[in-house]
Amino acid sequence: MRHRRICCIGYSTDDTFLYTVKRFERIAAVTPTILDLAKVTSSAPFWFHYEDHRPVVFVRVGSYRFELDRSMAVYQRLIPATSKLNTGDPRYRALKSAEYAASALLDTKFFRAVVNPQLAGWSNGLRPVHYRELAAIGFRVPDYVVTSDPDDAREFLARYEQVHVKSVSHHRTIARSLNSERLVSLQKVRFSPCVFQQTIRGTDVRVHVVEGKCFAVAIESDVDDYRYPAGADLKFSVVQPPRTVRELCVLATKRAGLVLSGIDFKVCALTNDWYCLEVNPMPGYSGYDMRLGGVISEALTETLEG
Amino acid sequence: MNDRAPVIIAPHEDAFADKVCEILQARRRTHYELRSIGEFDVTVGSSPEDAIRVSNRYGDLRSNTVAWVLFRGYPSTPRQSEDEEYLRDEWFAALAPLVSGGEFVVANSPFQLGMAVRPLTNWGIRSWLRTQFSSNSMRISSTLSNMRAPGPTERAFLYPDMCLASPAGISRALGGEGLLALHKPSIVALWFAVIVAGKVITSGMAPLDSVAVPHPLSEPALRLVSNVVHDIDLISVLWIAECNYSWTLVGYDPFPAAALFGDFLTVAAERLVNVLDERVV
Repeated sequence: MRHRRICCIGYSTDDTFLYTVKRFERIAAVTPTILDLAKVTSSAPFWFHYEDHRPVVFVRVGSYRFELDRSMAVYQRLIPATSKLNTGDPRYRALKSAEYAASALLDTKFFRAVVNPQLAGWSNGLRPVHYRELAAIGFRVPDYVVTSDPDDAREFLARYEQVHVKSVSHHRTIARSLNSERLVSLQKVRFSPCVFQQTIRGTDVRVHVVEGKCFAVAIESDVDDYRYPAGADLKFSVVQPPRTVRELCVLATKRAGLVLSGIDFKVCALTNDWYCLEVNPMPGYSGYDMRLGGVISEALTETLEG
Repeated sequence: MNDRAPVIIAPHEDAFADKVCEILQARRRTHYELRSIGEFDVTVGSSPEDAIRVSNRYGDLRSNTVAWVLFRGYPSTPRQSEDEEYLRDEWFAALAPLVSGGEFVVANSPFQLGMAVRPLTNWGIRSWLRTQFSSNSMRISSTLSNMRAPGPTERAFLYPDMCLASPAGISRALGGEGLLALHKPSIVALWFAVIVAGKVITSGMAPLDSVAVPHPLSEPALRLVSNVVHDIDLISVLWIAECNYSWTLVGYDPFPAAALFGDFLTVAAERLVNVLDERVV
Protein backbone atom coordinates (compact mmCIF):
# COMPACT_ATOMS: atom_id res chain seq x y z
CA MET A 1 0.00 0.00 0.00
CA ARG A 2 1.22 3.49 -0.79
CA HIS A 3 1.91 5.96 1.97
CA ARG A 4 -1.24 7.57 3.29
CA ARG A 5 -0.94 11.10 2.04
CA ILE A 6 -4.55 12.21 2.10
CA CYS A 7 -6.36 13.03 5.31
CA CYS A 8 -10.12 13.65 5.39
CA ILE A 9 -11.67 15.70 8.19
CA GLY A 10 -15.44 15.76 8.43
CA TYR A 11 -18.48 13.81 9.53
CA SER A 12 -19.41 10.29 8.48
CA THR A 13 -23.00 11.46 8.69
CA ASP A 14 -22.36 13.74 5.71
CA ASP A 15 -23.03 12.12 2.31
CA THR A 16 -20.55 14.25 0.39
CA PHE A 17 -17.81 13.48 2.90
CA LEU A 18 -18.45 9.74 2.69
CA TYR A 19 -18.62 9.85 -1.10
CA THR A 20 -15.31 11.72 -1.27
CA VAL A 21 -13.56 9.23 1.00
CA LYS A 22 -14.77 6.34 -1.17
CA ARG A 23 -13.66 8.10 -4.34
CA PHE A 24 -10.18 8.72 -2.90
CA GLU A 25 -9.94 5.03 -2.05
CA ARG A 26 -10.98 4.08 -5.56
CA ILE A 27 -8.99 6.61 -7.56
CA ALA A 28 -5.81 6.90 -5.52
CA ALA A 29 -5.84 3.27 -4.41
CA VAL A 30 -4.96 4.38 -0.91
CA THR A 31 -6.92 4.43 2.28
CA PRO A 32 -7.10 8.03 3.41
CA THR A 33 -6.70 8.84 7.07
CA ILE A 34 -10.18 9.72 8.22
CA LEU A 35 -10.78 12.04 11.16
CA ASP A 36 -14.48 11.44 11.68
CA LEU A 37 -15.84 14.12 13.96
CA ALA A 38 -19.08 12.18 14.31
CA LYS A 39 -17.12 9.88 16.63
CA VAL A 40 -16.62 12.69 19.13
CA THR A 41 -18.55 12.57 22.39
CA SER A 42 -18.53 14.76 25.46
CA SER A 43 -16.29 12.25 27.23
CA ALA A 44 -14.10 11.50 24.18
CA PRO A 45 -13.31 14.83 22.52
CA PHE A 46 -11.14 15.96 19.64
CA TRP A 47 -7.63 16.59 20.87
CA PHE A 48 -4.31 17.32 19.24
CA HIS A 49 -0.75 18.02 20.16
CA TYR A 50 1.27 20.17 17.85
CA GLU A 51 4.67 21.84 18.02
CA ASP A 52 6.12 23.97 15.28
CA HIS A 53 9.29 22.02 14.82
CA ARG A 54 8.02 18.50 15.26
CA PRO A 55 7.45 16.42 12.15
CA VAL A 56 4.19 14.91 13.36
CA VAL A 57 1.02 16.03 15.05
CA PHE A 58 -0.81 13.68 17.39
CA VAL A 59 -4.57 13.65 17.10
CA ARG A 60 -7.30 11.89 19.03
CA VAL A 61 -10.84 11.77 17.73
CA GLY A 62 -13.10 10.12 20.24
CA SER A 63 -11.30 6.90 21.12
CA TYR A 64 -9.22 6.82 17.91
CA ARG A 65 -5.59 7.97 17.76
CA PHE A 66 -3.70 9.28 14.75
CA GLU A 67 -0.23 10.48 13.88
CA LEU A 68 -0.26 12.91 10.98
CA ASP A 69 2.74 14.24 9.14
CA ARG A 70 3.52 17.32 7.10
CA SER A 71 3.45 15.53 3.77
CA MET A 72 -0.28 15.05 4.08
CA ALA A 73 -2.89 16.99 2.15
CA VAL A 74 -6.25 17.49 3.81
CA TYR A 75 -9.74 17.42 2.40
CA GLN A 76 -11.99 19.06 4.98
CA ARG A 77 -15.75 19.41 5.28
CA LEU A 78 -16.22 21.11 8.62
CA ILE A 79 -19.86 21.86 8.06
CA PRO A 80 -21.68 22.82 11.23
CA ALA A 81 -23.11 19.56 12.54
CA THR A 82 -24.88 21.21 15.42
CA SER A 83 -27.73 22.95 13.63
CA LYS A 84 -30.27 20.31 14.59
CA LEU A 85 -29.14 20.09 18.21
CA ASN A 86 -30.33 22.15 21.13
CA THR A 87 -27.56 24.35 22.53
CA GLY A 88 -28.12 22.77 25.94
CA ASP A 89 -27.46 19.28 24.56
CA PRO A 90 -24.06 17.94 25.75
CA ARG A 91 -23.51 16.61 22.25
CA TYR A 92 -23.88 20.17 20.90
CA ARG A 93 -21.01 21.33 23.06
CA ALA A 94 -18.88 18.33 22.15
CA LEU A 95 -19.40 18.75 18.41
CA LYS A 96 -18.96 22.50 18.49
CA SER A 97 -15.72 22.09 20.42
CA ALA A 98 -14.54 19.44 17.96
CA GLU A 99 -15.30 21.75 15.06
CA TYR A 100 -13.29 24.57 16.62
CA ALA A 101 -10.45 22.26 17.55
CA ALA A 102 -10.31 20.84 14.01
CA SER A 103 -10.28 24.42 12.71
CA ALA A 104 -7.41 25.15 15.04
CA LEU A 105 -5.52 22.14 13.71
CA LEU A 106 -5.93 23.43 10.16
CA ASP A 107 -4.92 26.92 11.28
CA THR A 108 -1.49 25.60 12.26
CA LYS A 109 -0.56 25.47 8.56
CA PHE A 110 1.02 22.12 9.34
CA PHE A 111 -0.24 20.24 6.28
CA ARG A 112 1.07 20.29 2.73
CA ALA A 113 -2.28 21.46 1.42
CA VAL A 114 -5.84 21.93 2.66
CA VAL A 115 -8.89 21.83 0.39
CA ASN A 116 -10.45 24.23 0.96
CA PRO A 117 -8.26 26.42 3.13
CA GLN A 118 -9.89 27.80 6.26
CA LEU A 119 -11.68 31.09 5.69
CA ALA A 120 -11.39 30.86 1.91
CA GLY A 121 -14.62 31.97 0.30
CA TRP A 122 -15.89 33.44 3.56
CA SER A 123 -18.02 36.10 1.90
CA ASN A 124 -20.48 33.41 0.76
CA GLY A 125 -22.08 33.57 4.20
CA LEU A 126 -22.62 37.32 3.95
CA ARG A 127 -24.85 37.85 0.93
CA PRO A 128 -24.59 41.62 0.53
CA VAL A 129 -20.80 41.42 0.53
CA HIS A 130 -20.82 38.30 -1.66
CA TYR A 131 -23.06 39.81 -4.33
CA ARG A 132 -20.89 42.90 -4.52
CA GLU A 133 -17.81 40.75 -4.98
CA LEU A 134 -19.45 38.72 -7.73
CA ALA A 135 -20.47 41.89 -9.56
CA ALA A 136 -16.97 43.34 -9.13
CA ILE A 137 -15.44 40.23 -10.68
CA GLY A 138 -17.63 40.70 -13.74
CA PHE A 139 -20.50 38.27 -13.19
CA ARG A 140 -24.01 39.32 -14.03
CA VAL A 141 -25.91 39.17 -10.70
CA PRO A 142 -29.71 39.28 -10.34
CA ASP A 143 -30.97 42.50 -8.78
CA TYR A 144 -31.55 42.18 -5.03
CA VAL A 145 -32.29 43.97 -1.82
CA VAL A 146 -31.41 42.82 1.69
CA THR A 147 -33.78 44.37 4.16
CA SER A 148 -35.56 44.23 7.48
CA ASP A 149 -37.94 46.97 6.38
CA PRO A 150 -41.27 45.65 5.00
CA ASP A 151 -41.78 48.85 2.98
CA ASP A 152 -38.43 48.45 1.23
CA ALA A 153 -39.29 44.82 0.54
CA ARG A 154 -42.65 45.82 -0.96
CA GLU A 155 -41.01 48.48 -3.11
CA PHE A 156 -38.57 45.90 -4.47
CA LEU A 157 -41.35 43.39 -5.11
CA ALA A 158 -43.22 45.97 -7.15
CA ARG A 159 -40.27 46.22 -9.54
CA TYR A 160 -40.28 42.61 -10.70
CA GLU A 161 -42.79 40.12 -11.94
CA GLN A 162 -41.35 37.48 -9.64
CA VAL A 163 -38.96 37.58 -6.70
CA HIS A 164 -37.20 34.90 -4.68
CA VAL A 165 -36.54 35.14 -0.98
CA LYS A 166 -33.62 33.53 0.85
CA SER A 167 -31.42 33.88 3.93
CA VAL A 168 -28.78 36.59 4.31
CA SER A 169 -26.13 34.52 6.07
CA HIS A 170 -24.59 31.07 5.66
CA HIS A 171 -27.70 29.36 7.07
CA ARG A 172 -29.16 27.21 4.37
CA THR A 173 -32.72 27.97 3.38
CA ILE A 174 -34.91 26.83 0.52
CA ALA A 175 -35.08 29.67 -2.00
CA ARG A 176 -38.77 30.36 -2.58
CA SER A 177 -40.61 32.54 -4.99
CA LEU A 178 -42.80 35.03 -3.24
CA ASN A 179 -46.49 34.81 -4.07
CA SER A 180 -49.35 36.95 -2.84
CA GLU A 181 -50.06 34.69 0.12
CA ARG A 182 -46.57 35.10 1.42
CA LEU A 183 -46.71 38.88 0.96
CA VAL A 184 -48.93 38.98 4.04
CA SER A 185 -46.05 37.76 6.17
CA LEU A 186 -43.65 40.46 5.01
CA GLN A 187 -43.83 42.07 8.45
CA LYS A 188 -41.71 39.18 9.70
CA VAL A 189 -38.60 40.69 8.11
CA ARG A 190 -38.60 43.15 11.00
CA PHE A 191 -37.30 40.30 13.16
CA SER A 192 -35.03 38.69 10.61
CA PRO A 193 -33.85 40.41 7.43
CA CYS A 194 -34.08 38.53 4.14
CA VAL A 195 -32.60 38.66 0.67
CA PHE A 196 -35.20 39.49 -1.96
CA GLN A 197 -33.80 38.64 -5.35
CA GLN A 198 -35.11 39.14 -8.87
CA THR A 199 -36.22 35.76 -10.23
CA ILE A 200 -34.46 34.69 -13.41
CA ARG A 201 -36.51 32.18 -15.35
CA GLY A 202 -34.41 29.58 -17.05
CA THR A 203 -32.08 26.66 -16.59
CA ASP A 204 -30.03 26.10 -13.46
CA VAL A 205 -26.36 25.34 -14.02
CA ARG A 206 -23.87 24.22 -11.40
CA VAL A 207 -20.22 24.74 -12.35
CA HIS A 208 -17.55 23.08 -10.22
CA VAL A 209 -14.04 24.42 -10.42
CA VAL A 210 -11.06 22.37 -9.31
CA GLU A 211 -7.77 24.17 -9.69
CA GLY A 212 -8.60 25.91 -12.92
CA LYS A 213 -10.71 23.15 -14.49
CA CYS A 214 -14.49 23.65 -14.93
CA PHE A 215 -17.12 20.91 -14.86
CA ALA A 216 -20.70 21.94 -15.51
CA VAL A 217 -24.11 20.32 -15.19
CA ALA A 218 -27.42 21.86 -16.29
CA ILE A 219 -30.61 21.14 -14.36
CA GLU A 220 -34.06 21.58 -15.88
CA SER A 221 -36.92 21.74 -13.40
CA ASP A 222 -40.20 23.46 -12.63
CA VAL A 223 -39.49 24.04 -8.94
CA ASP A 224 -38.21 27.16 -7.16
CA ASP A 225 -35.16 25.41 -5.74
CA TYR A 226 -34.12 22.26 -7.57
CA ARG A 227 -32.20 21.05 -4.51
CA TYR A 228 -35.58 20.41 -2.93
CA PRO A 229 -37.62 18.95 -5.79
CA ALA A 230 -40.36 17.36 -3.62
CA GLY A 231 -41.05 14.71 -6.24
CA ALA A 232 -40.80 17.00 -9.28
CA ASP A 233 -38.87 15.81 -12.34
CA LEU A 234 -35.30 17.01 -12.70
CA LYS A 235 -33.35 16.64 -15.93
CA PHE A 236 -29.59 16.76 -15.69
CA SER A 237 -27.25 17.22 -18.64
CA VAL A 238 -23.61 18.02 -19.14
CA VAL A 239 -23.02 21.51 -20.53
CA GLN A 240 -20.09 23.65 -21.59
CA PRO A 241 -20.44 27.21 -20.29
CA PRO A 242 -19.30 30.05 -22.54
CA ARG A 243 -15.59 30.78 -22.36
CA THR A 244 -16.12 34.10 -20.59
CA VAL A 245 -18.19 32.40 -17.89
CA ARG A 246 -15.56 29.68 -17.44
CA GLU A 247 -12.84 32.29 -17.10
CA LEU A 248 -14.85 34.21 -14.53
CA CYS A 249 -15.51 30.99 -12.59
CA VAL A 250 -11.80 30.26 -12.41
CA LEU A 251 -11.07 33.86 -11.45
CA ALA A 252 -13.75 33.91 -8.72
CA THR A 253 -12.47 30.64 -7.29
CA LYS A 254 -8.91 31.89 -7.24
CA ARG A 255 -9.80 35.28 -5.76
CA ALA A 256 -11.74 33.59 -2.98
CA GLY A 257 -8.67 31.49 -2.18
CA LEU A 258 -10.51 28.28 -3.04
CA VAL A 259 -9.23 25.14 -4.71
CA LEU A 260 -12.67 23.58 -5.13
CA SER A 261 -15.81 25.64 -5.65
CA GLY A 262 -19.41 25.06 -6.70
CA ILE A 263 -20.83 28.02 -8.59
CA ASP A 264 -24.57 28.35 -9.21
CA PHE A 265 -26.02 30.02 -12.28
CA LYS A 266 -29.38 30.73 -13.81
CA VAL A 267 -29.29 30.94 -17.59
CA CYS A 268 -32.08 33.29 -18.63
CA ALA A 269 -34.54 31.57 -20.97
CA LEU A 270 -35.22 34.84 -22.80
CA THR A 271 -31.75 36.33 -23.22
CA ASN A 272 -29.46 33.36 -22.63
CA ASP A 273 -27.51 35.54 -20.17
CA TRP A 274 -25.70 33.70 -17.36
CA TYR A 275 -26.62 35.08 -13.92
CA CYS A 276 -24.37 34.07 -11.06
CA LEU A 277 -26.21 33.23 -7.84
CA GLU A 278 -23.33 32.26 -5.57
CA VAL A 279 -19.86 30.76 -5.24
CA ASN A 280 -20.13 27.91 -2.74
CA PRO A 281 -16.89 27.32 -0.83
CA MET A 282 -17.89 23.87 0.45
CA PRO A 283 -19.92 22.35 -2.35
CA GLY A 284 -21.92 19.17 -1.93
CA TYR A 285 -20.65 18.00 -5.28
CA SER A 286 -21.25 14.25 -5.11
CA GLY A 287 -24.51 14.11 -7.10
CA TYR A 288 -23.03 16.17 -9.92
CA ASP A 289 -19.84 14.12 -9.90
CA MET A 290 -21.79 10.90 -10.39
CA ARG A 291 -23.56 12.41 -13.38
CA LEU A 292 -20.24 13.59 -14.80
CA GLY A 293 -18.62 10.18 -14.45
CA GLY A 294 -16.43 11.13 -11.50
CA VAL A 295 -14.34 13.85 -13.17
CA ILE A 296 -14.63 16.28 -10.23
CA SER A 297 -13.38 13.78 -7.66
CA GLU A 298 -10.62 12.70 -10.05
CA ALA A 299 -9.42 16.30 -10.36
CA LEU A 300 -9.71 16.69 -6.60
CA THR A 301 -7.67 13.55 -5.95
CA GLU A 302 -5.04 14.67 -8.43
CA THR A 303 -4.80 18.02 -6.66
CA LEU A 304 -4.50 16.49 -3.20
CA GLU A 305 -1.92 13.95 -4.32
CA GLY A 306 0.12 16.91 -5.57
CA MET B 1 -17.28 66.11 8.91
CA ASN B 2 -19.35 66.62 12.07
CA ASP B 3 -22.60 66.43 10.11
CA ARG B 4 -21.83 62.78 9.46
CA ALA B 5 -22.90 60.34 12.10
CA PRO B 6 -20.91 57.60 13.81
CA VAL B 7 -22.51 54.16 13.97
CA ILE B 8 -22.05 51.97 17.03
CA ILE B 9 -22.73 48.26 16.56
CA ALA B 10 -22.56 46.55 19.93
CA PRO B 11 -24.42 44.28 22.27
CA HIS B 12 -26.87 45.99 24.58
CA GLU B 13 -24.53 45.54 27.53
CA ASP B 14 -21.15 46.93 26.58
CA ALA B 15 -19.49 49.45 28.85
CA PHE B 16 -17.07 50.64 26.19
CA ALA B 17 -19.86 51.32 23.67
CA ASP B 18 -21.76 53.11 26.46
CA LYS B 19 -18.77 55.30 27.11
CA VAL B 20 -18.30 56.14 23.42
CA CYS B 21 -21.99 57.07 23.15
CA GLU B 22 -21.72 59.17 26.29
CA ILE B 23 -18.81 61.08 24.77
CA LEU B 24 -20.72 61.61 21.52
CA GLN B 25 -23.76 62.84 23.42
CA ALA B 26 -21.61 65.25 25.42
CA ARG B 27 -20.30 66.58 22.12
CA ARG B 28 -23.86 66.82 20.78
CA ARG B 29 -23.05 64.47 17.94
CA THR B 30 -25.85 62.60 16.22
CA HIS B 31 -24.99 58.92 16.27
CA TYR B 32 -26.67 55.62 15.57
CA GLU B 33 -26.64 52.82 18.08
CA LEU B 34 -27.43 49.43 16.59
CA ARG B 35 -27.52 47.44 19.77
CA SER B 36 -30.78 45.58 20.04
CA ILE B 37 -32.45 43.72 17.22
CA GLY B 38 -35.93 45.05 16.65
CA GLU B 39 -34.94 48.63 17.40
CA PHE B 40 -33.50 49.41 13.97
CA ASP B 41 -33.85 48.46 10.32
CA VAL B 42 -31.23 47.87 7.69
CA THR B 43 -31.52 47.83 3.91
CA VAL B 44 -28.74 47.00 1.48
CA GLY B 45 -29.43 47.37 -2.21
CA SER B 46 -27.56 46.62 -5.37
CA SER B 47 -27.59 50.13 -6.78
CA PRO B 48 -25.06 52.66 -5.45
CA GLU B 49 -27.73 55.15 -4.38
CA ASP B 50 -29.39 52.72 -2.00
CA ALA B 51 -26.26 50.81 -1.11
CA ILE B 52 -26.82 50.90 2.65
CA ARG B 53 -29.55 52.47 4.73
CA VAL B 54 -29.96 52.14 8.47
CA SER B 55 -33.09 53.46 10.16
CA ASN B 56 -34.09 53.86 13.75
CA ARG B 57 -36.73 55.91 15.49
CA TYR B 58 -34.61 59.04 15.03
CA GLY B 59 -34.38 58.75 11.24
CA ASP B 60 -32.40 57.36 8.36
CA LEU B 61 -28.69 57.03 7.89
CA ARG B 62 -27.32 56.43 4.41
CA SER B 63 -23.87 55.45 3.22
CA ASN B 64 -22.81 59.02 2.48
CA THR B 65 -23.74 60.22 5.95
CA VAL B 66 -21.78 57.60 7.90
CA ALA B 67 -18.79 59.10 9.69
CA TRP B 68 -17.25 55.93 11.07
CA VAL B 69 -18.27 52.63 12.59
CA LEU B 70 -17.43 51.15 15.95
CA PHE B 71 -17.95 47.39 15.99
CA ARG B 72 -18.01 45.72 19.39
CA GLY B 73 -19.86 42.54 18.58
CA TYR B 74 -23.27 41.34 17.57
CA PRO B 75 -26.34 43.38 18.52
CA SER B 76 -28.36 41.67 21.23
CA THR B 77 -31.14 39.35 20.14
CA PRO B 78 -34.58 40.15 21.56
CA ARG B 79 -34.76 37.09 23.76
CA GLN B 80 -33.06 33.84 24.48
CA SER B 81 -34.46 31.43 21.97
CA GLU B 82 -33.44 28.52 19.85
CA ASP B 83 -33.31 30.93 16.90
CA GLU B 84 -30.80 33.15 18.61
CA GLU B 85 -27.80 31.96 16.60
CA TYR B 86 -29.75 32.18 13.34
CA LEU B 87 -31.02 35.68 14.07
CA ARG B 88 -27.63 36.91 15.12
CA ASP B 89 -26.02 35.58 11.94
CA GLU B 90 -28.74 36.99 9.69
CA TRP B 91 -28.49 40.47 11.20
CA PHE B 92 -24.75 40.42 11.17
CA ALA B 93 -24.75 39.41 7.50
CA ALA B 94 -27.14 42.26 6.70
CA LEU B 95 -24.88 44.74 8.51
CA ALA B 96 -21.71 43.29 6.98
CA PRO B 97 -21.17 46.04 4.37
CA LEU B 98 -20.92 48.55 7.23
CA VAL B 99 -18.10 46.71 8.97
CA SER B 100 -16.22 45.11 6.10
CA GLY B 101 -13.69 47.91 6.21
CA GLY B 102 -13.86 48.52 2.49
CA GLU B 103 -16.09 51.55 2.53
CA PHE B 104 -15.94 53.09 5.99
CA VAL B 105 -13.47 53.69 8.76
CA VAL B 106 -14.15 50.83 11.16
CA ALA B 107 -12.86 50.07 14.63
CA ASN B 108 -12.33 47.15 14.45
CA SER B 109 -13.39 45.36 11.32
CA PRO B 110 -14.13 41.74 12.23
CA PHE B 111 -13.33 40.75 8.68
CA GLN B 112 -9.65 41.44 9.09
CA LEU B 113 -9.64 38.60 11.58
CA GLY B 114 -12.09 36.31 9.89
CA MET B 115 -14.41 36.62 12.81
CA ALA B 116 -17.41 36.94 10.62
CA VAL B 117 -16.96 33.36 9.62
CA ARG B 118 -16.27 31.64 12.88
CA PRO B 119 -14.89 32.53 16.27
CA LEU B 120 -11.16 32.85 16.25
CA THR B 121 -9.28 29.86 17.42
CA ASN B 122 -6.04 30.35 19.22
CA TRP B 123 -4.18 29.24 16.17
CA GLY B 124 -6.17 31.69 14.14
CA ILE B 125 -4.95 34.41 16.45
CA ARG B 126 -1.41 33.19 16.25
CA SER B 127 -1.43 32.87 12.48
CA TRP B 128 -2.75 36.38 12.35
CA LEU B 129 -0.12 37.61 14.76
CA ARG B 130 2.53 35.97 12.66
CA THR B 131 1.18 37.66 9.56
CA GLN B 132 0.83 41.05 11.14
CA PHE B 133 3.90 41.26 13.28
CA SER B 134 6.92 39.65 11.74
CA SER B 135 9.36 41.27 14.13
CA ASN B 136 12.30 38.97 14.70
CA SER B 137 12.55 39.92 18.30
CA MET B 138 9.07 38.72 19.07
CA ARG B 139 8.53 35.16 20.10
CA ILE B 140 5.18 33.50 19.73
CA SER B 141 4.59 30.35 21.63
CA SER B 142 4.18 27.37 19.40
CA THR B 143 3.43 24.55 21.77
CA LEU B 144 -0.06 23.28 21.91
CA SER B 145 -0.23 20.56 24.48
CA ASN B 146 -3.86 20.51 25.30
CA MET B 147 -6.88 21.85 23.61
CA ARG B 148 -10.23 22.73 24.96
CA ALA B 149 -11.95 24.60 22.22
CA PRO B 150 -14.01 27.61 23.14
CA GLY B 151 -17.75 27.63 23.45
CA PRO B 152 -19.84 29.60 21.01
CA THR B 153 -19.62 32.84 22.92
CA GLU B 154 -16.06 32.62 24.13
CA ARG B 155 -12.89 33.63 22.46
CA ALA B 156 -10.22 31.49 23.95
CA PHE B 157 -6.68 32.37 24.65
CA LEU B 158 -4.24 29.59 24.88
CA TYR B 159 -1.11 30.13 26.82
CA PRO B 160 2.13 28.22 26.46
CA ASP B 161 2.04 24.63 27.52
CA MET B 162 -1.41 23.67 28.60
CA CYS B 163 -2.68 26.95 29.85
CA LEU B 164 -6.01 28.22 28.78
CA ALA B 165 -8.00 31.23 29.76
CA SER B 166 -10.82 33.10 28.17
CA PRO B 167 -11.73 36.77 28.35
CA ALA B 168 -14.49 35.71 30.67
CA GLY B 169 -11.89 34.15 32.92
CA ILE B 170 -9.81 37.26 32.80
CA SER B 171 -12.89 39.31 33.49
CA ARG B 172 -13.51 37.24 36.57
CA ALA B 173 -9.92 37.78 37.51
CA LEU B 174 -10.40 41.50 37.29
CA GLY B 175 -13.41 41.13 39.48
CA GLY B 176 -11.31 39.35 42.03
CA GLU B 177 -12.01 35.70 41.39
CA GLY B 178 -8.60 34.77 40.11
CA LEU B 179 -7.29 33.39 36.87
CA LEU B 180 -8.80 29.99 37.29
CA ALA B 181 -7.88 28.64 33.91
CA LEU B 182 -4.14 29.09 34.13
CA HIS B 183 -2.40 26.00 35.35
CA LYS B 184 1.17 26.00 34.26
CA PRO B 185 3.40 26.66 37.24
CA SER B 186 6.11 28.33 35.18
CA ILE B 187 3.83 31.20 34.21
CA VAL B 188 4.44 33.92 36.71
CA ALA B 189 2.04 36.52 35.45
CA LEU B 190 -0.05 37.66 32.59
CA TRP B 191 0.54 41.20 31.43
CA PHE B 192 -1.77 43.22 29.28
CA ALA B 193 -1.57 46.46 27.35
CA VAL B 194 -4.53 48.37 26.00
CA ILE B 195 -3.58 50.06 22.76
CA VAL B 196 -5.53 52.73 20.93
CA ALA B 197 -4.18 53.86 17.58
CA GLY B 198 -0.58 53.05 18.27
CA LYS B 199 -0.48 54.31 21.86
CA VAL B 200 -0.52 52.30 25.05
CA ILE B 201 -3.44 53.70 27.04
CA THR B 202 -3.10 51.51 30.04
CA SER B 203 -1.45 48.33 31.10
CA GLY B 204 -1.69 45.90 33.90
CA MET B 205 -0.60 42.66 35.38
CA ALA B 206 -2.55 39.63 36.44
CA PRO B 207 -0.45 37.55 38.81
CA LEU B 208 -1.57 33.99 39.23
CA ASP B 209 -3.82 33.43 42.20
CA SER B 210 -4.47 37.12 42.51
CA VAL B 211 -6.47 39.90 40.93
CA ALA B 212 -5.32 41.91 37.95
CA VAL B 213 -4.18 45.42 38.69
CA PRO B 214 -3.18 48.44 36.63
CA HIS B 215 0.59 48.33 36.45
CA PRO B 216 3.27 49.81 34.23
CA LEU B 217 4.62 47.18 31.87
CA SER B 218 7.84 45.57 32.91
CA GLU B 219 10.81 46.48 30.74
CA PRO B 220 10.82 43.22 28.71
CA ALA B 221 7.07 43.36 28.21
CA LEU B 222 7.32 46.98 27.17
CA ARG B 223 9.96 46.09 24.60
CA LEU B 224 7.71 43.40 23.24
CA VAL B 225 4.78 45.77 22.96
CA SER B 226 6.95 48.54 21.49
CA ASN B 227 7.86 46.24 18.64
CA VAL B 228 4.30 45.88 17.53
CA VAL B 229 2.37 48.81 18.93
CA HIS B 230 2.57 50.90 15.78
CA ASP B 231 1.17 48.09 13.69
CA ILE B 232 -1.95 47.80 15.81
CA ASP B 233 -4.78 49.65 14.31
CA LEU B 234 -7.30 51.43 16.50
CA ILE B 235 -8.10 49.43 19.58
CA SER B 236 -6.91 46.16 20.97
CA VAL B 237 -5.43 44.45 23.95
CA LEU B 238 -2.23 42.47 23.84
CA TRP B 239 -1.72 39.72 26.39
CA ILE B 240 1.78 38.77 27.35
CA ALA B 241 2.76 35.79 29.45
CA GLU B 242 5.70 36.09 31.78
CA CYS B 243 7.22 32.69 32.10
CA ASN B 244 10.61 31.89 33.65
CA TYR B 245 12.02 35.33 32.88
CA SER B 246 10.84 35.25 29.31
CA TRP B 247 7.96 37.19 27.90
CA THR B 248 5.79 35.87 25.15
CA LEU B 249 3.00 37.50 23.21
CA VAL B 250 0.16 35.06 23.67
CA GLY B 251 -3.04 36.81 22.84
CA TYR B 252 -4.68 39.59 20.94
CA ASP B 253 -8.19 40.78 21.61
CA PRO B 254 -9.65 43.26 19.14
CA PHE B 255 -12.75 43.81 21.28
CA PRO B 256 -11.30 44.49 24.69
CA ALA B 257 -13.63 44.82 27.59
CA ALA B 258 -12.17 43.26 30.67
CA ALA B 259 -8.92 45.18 30.55
CA LEU B 260 -10.66 48.53 30.26
CA PHE B 261 -11.67 49.65 33.69
CA GLY B 262 -11.83 52.78 35.77
CA ASP B 263 -10.67 56.04 34.24
CA PHE B 264 -8.92 54.20 31.45
CA LEU B 265 -12.26 53.41 29.90
CA THR B 266 -12.85 57.13 29.36
CA VAL B 267 -9.30 57.76 28.21
CA ALA B 268 -9.44 54.94 25.68
CA ALA B 269 -12.90 55.89 24.41
CA GLU B 270 -12.00 59.57 23.99
CA ARG B 271 -8.82 58.79 22.15
CA LEU B 272 -10.63 56.35 19.89
CA VAL B 273 -13.39 58.85 19.03
CA ASN B 274 -10.81 61.54 18.28
CA VAL B 275 -8.72 59.24 16.11
CA LEU B 276 -11.74 57.98 14.20
CA ASP B 277 -12.90 61.54 13.56
CA GLU B 278 -9.44 62.45 12.30
CA ARG B 279 -9.45 59.52 9.89
CA VAL B 280 -12.69 60.50 8.22
CA VAL B 281 -11.96 62.83 5.36
